Amino acid sequence: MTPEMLLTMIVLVFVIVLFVFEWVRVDVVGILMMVLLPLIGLISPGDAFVGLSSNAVISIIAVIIMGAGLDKTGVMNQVARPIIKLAGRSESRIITLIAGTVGVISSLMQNIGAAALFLPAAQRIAKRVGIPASRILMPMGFCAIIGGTLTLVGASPTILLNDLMTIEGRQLEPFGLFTQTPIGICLLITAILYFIIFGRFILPSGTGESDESVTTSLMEAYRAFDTIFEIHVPQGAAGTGRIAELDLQARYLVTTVAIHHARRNEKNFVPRSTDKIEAGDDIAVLGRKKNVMKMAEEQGWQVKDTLDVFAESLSRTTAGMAEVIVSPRSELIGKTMSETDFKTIYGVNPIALFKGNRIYYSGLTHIRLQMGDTLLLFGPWDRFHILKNYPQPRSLTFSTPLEGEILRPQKAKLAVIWLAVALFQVIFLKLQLSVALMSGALGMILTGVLKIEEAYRAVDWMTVFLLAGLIPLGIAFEKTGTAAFIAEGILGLIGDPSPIVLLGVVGLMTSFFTLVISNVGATVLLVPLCMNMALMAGGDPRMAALVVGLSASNTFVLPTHQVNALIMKPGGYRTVDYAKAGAFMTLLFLIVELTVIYFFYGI
Amino acid sequence: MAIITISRGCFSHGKEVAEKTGEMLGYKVISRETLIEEAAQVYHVPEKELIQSVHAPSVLERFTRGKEQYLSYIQAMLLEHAVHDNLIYHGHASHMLLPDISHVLNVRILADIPDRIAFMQQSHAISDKEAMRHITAEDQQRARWADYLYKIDITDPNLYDIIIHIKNLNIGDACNIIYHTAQMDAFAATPESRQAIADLALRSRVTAAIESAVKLDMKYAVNANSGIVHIRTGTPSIRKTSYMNQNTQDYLREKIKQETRDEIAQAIKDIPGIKNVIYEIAPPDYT
Repeated sequence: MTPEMLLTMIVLVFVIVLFVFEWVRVDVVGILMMVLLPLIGLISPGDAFVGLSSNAVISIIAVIIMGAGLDKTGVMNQVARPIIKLAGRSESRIITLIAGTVGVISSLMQNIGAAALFLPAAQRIAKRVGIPASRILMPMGFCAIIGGTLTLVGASPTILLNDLMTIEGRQLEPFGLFTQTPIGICLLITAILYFIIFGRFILPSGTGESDESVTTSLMEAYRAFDTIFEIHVPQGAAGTGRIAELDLQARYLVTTVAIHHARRNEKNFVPRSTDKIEAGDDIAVLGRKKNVMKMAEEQGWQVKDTLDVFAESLSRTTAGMAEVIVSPRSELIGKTMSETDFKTIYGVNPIALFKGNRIYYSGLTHIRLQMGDTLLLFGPWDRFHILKNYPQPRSLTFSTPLEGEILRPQKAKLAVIWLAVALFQVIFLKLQLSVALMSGALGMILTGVLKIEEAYRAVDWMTVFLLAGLIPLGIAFEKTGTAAFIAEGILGLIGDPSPIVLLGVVGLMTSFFTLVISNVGATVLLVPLCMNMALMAGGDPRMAALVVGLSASNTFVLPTHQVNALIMKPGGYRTVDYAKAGAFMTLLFLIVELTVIYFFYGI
Repeated sequence: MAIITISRGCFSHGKEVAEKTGEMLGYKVISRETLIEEAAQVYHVPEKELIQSVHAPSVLERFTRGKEQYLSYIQAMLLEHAVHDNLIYHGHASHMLLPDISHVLNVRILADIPDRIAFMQQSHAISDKEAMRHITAEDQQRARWADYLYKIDITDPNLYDIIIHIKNLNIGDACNIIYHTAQMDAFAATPESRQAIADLALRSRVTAAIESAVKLDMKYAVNANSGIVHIRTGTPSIRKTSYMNQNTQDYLREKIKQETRDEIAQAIKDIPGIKNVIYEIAPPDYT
């Protein structure tokens, strides 16, 4: 053993201790390594920061930017909508569709983003069909985690692999974006089958907290609204004419928030009292269900089951509610909303006014506003964002967070095109992953899918520094011969196993390490070690690296895993539920992963 | 008008003193055992676990928060009685369950070892040596328990208003001393001290409800002041297992903060006496 090896081992022990006890955050351990390793002479100062320019880091930055671009244009919502419609009423079909889609989306996007996208819909479907949300959410969460194994850029550990695959000074052939896809697909299918067959036995049947958006909690707080209803005004209906004449607010406590004028084929999202409702029009209203029904009956209107004409424009990702307070020094003080032409200027509908200790639901626009009066507004999120960005002194101060963001649906096609361009370069031109993905990200920025500031803001700096800092450690581990030295020692102890047994041990070891320390940390420490062990045992070092990379995603039993944390309360899960459902999943994961590798990857 | 806590070692005549003084003053007398029975019923937990909670923790228990949970139930039960005054409570380190209330008279009863051994032998057929071993072990484990939970030395005289040594003074004398002291102006309940005990009662009801329903795996603090409850807690860290964009990170942070708040709100919503709740919830960290 050389002094360098000894030093490396000391550093490794130190790093493991830091990972286990978490005295500093994992990414800070990464930064520490970038500084410490050149200081003690284990790597040259020039190599200290190579991690920052590594394939892994650039790929992650590019993937995050492209994902943010897809979010920003609402592409993902458009993907989700038809799938949710297809779900039907059968539990296994709902699980297959939702969990399967989430898995596929996570293959190229952040896994938690995919899960979060489907979370509200999954909860709604569960409620509608009458099955506990817990039966759908955990399959969805687990598939989001597994989805990360579908492509090389699906999860942090696999992205790292190509940068760590150096052995005895030679660079091994890098993995392609889809090398691991067959394994991922088998894992995804296994997970879905596992939950369809055993779900009812291993998942609790409780319903967790319901989907509480700011809009729904505001509706509850004001007590005069159940949800948004869409109504069709048929030919010959009694209720036609100016809104002011119909007097819907005063008679039914119902507020009209949008009108689709059939004759002009035009949608009006800030209907005013002078606007007319005519036969053939569709309107969207807010109010209590019983009031809306009564109104529809008396006016001869038809209430639709779901949003139809306004499905897109009034969906919760594009429009909703916010509560605002009339600010000190606001120009609205002392004036009525009709005097200030509130709807035209702000482009949102006032729904209720909280003044003193009274709430007004009708005649709001004729009440003089005072500082501190609270208004409940309904409108598209982009209008709210514009309002919020007014320079100081703002006339209105927001008392609730804004749920939605400004979307650019008109750029959706461009976002998809750039993603396709990036993938085309990877698959057909065999371009290096980082270059291909970054060109897609750049394309999105150049064509205005998202602004460069938005791209910078989206980047996950914690993951960037974690990867960038630990890559030099992995390199030093291999370069100093320490990995080979330890591998030799371990093999000396356990004898000469066959390659598949060795891979089994590698998978088991990684799955265990990942539970105790960060999965990226586990990958960095185990890849050099396991590649050496595989080489000495006559196996394929690349496969050993792949098993480590994939098994690092085998973290189903952790309730603190980012995806599990997301679904824990909505699913009403307890820690023990993850342990129960996750332990078996962990085992299945290993069996399927090794079986596919054994039969199809030629170990 | 006063509340008397009697802290004692095992077989030190604490129970007799408490019961006799209770008769003299016409006060209700409750023991740790009564509280445990009540808490087991109210919070649906096995009595065995509650009894365990008033014993020194094992190494494993120092890492889990089981003891604090059960103790919060016992304290909540005691305070349900204490808000009505005229109460004698006997149990070890009993004064720690009612800290800083001016109309609480904290008494410690001491007895000599030979006397304790003899007293123990009245109810147990064991040798002097065995009795001695039992008493010493029990004293040590109570001291460890108090040290672990409250960081106090139960033998420290500063913790008590009076300490009575049953040797030259007999049980009747001890009762007389407590009887007279309890009637002094210093231990008369004042509007402020009643408010203090009401606040403490509300705080322990809220704490017990949180422990029972929410099971926060982390330290949290509850305070109550005239019906306004202030709850401060963190949230468990999230293990970042793959990349996340900043928006998603912020979204998850807010979501978990909100869920924790909603869960606590749900757990305490039926507690009487809450006028307002102020939540201070730190969002989760990513690790």
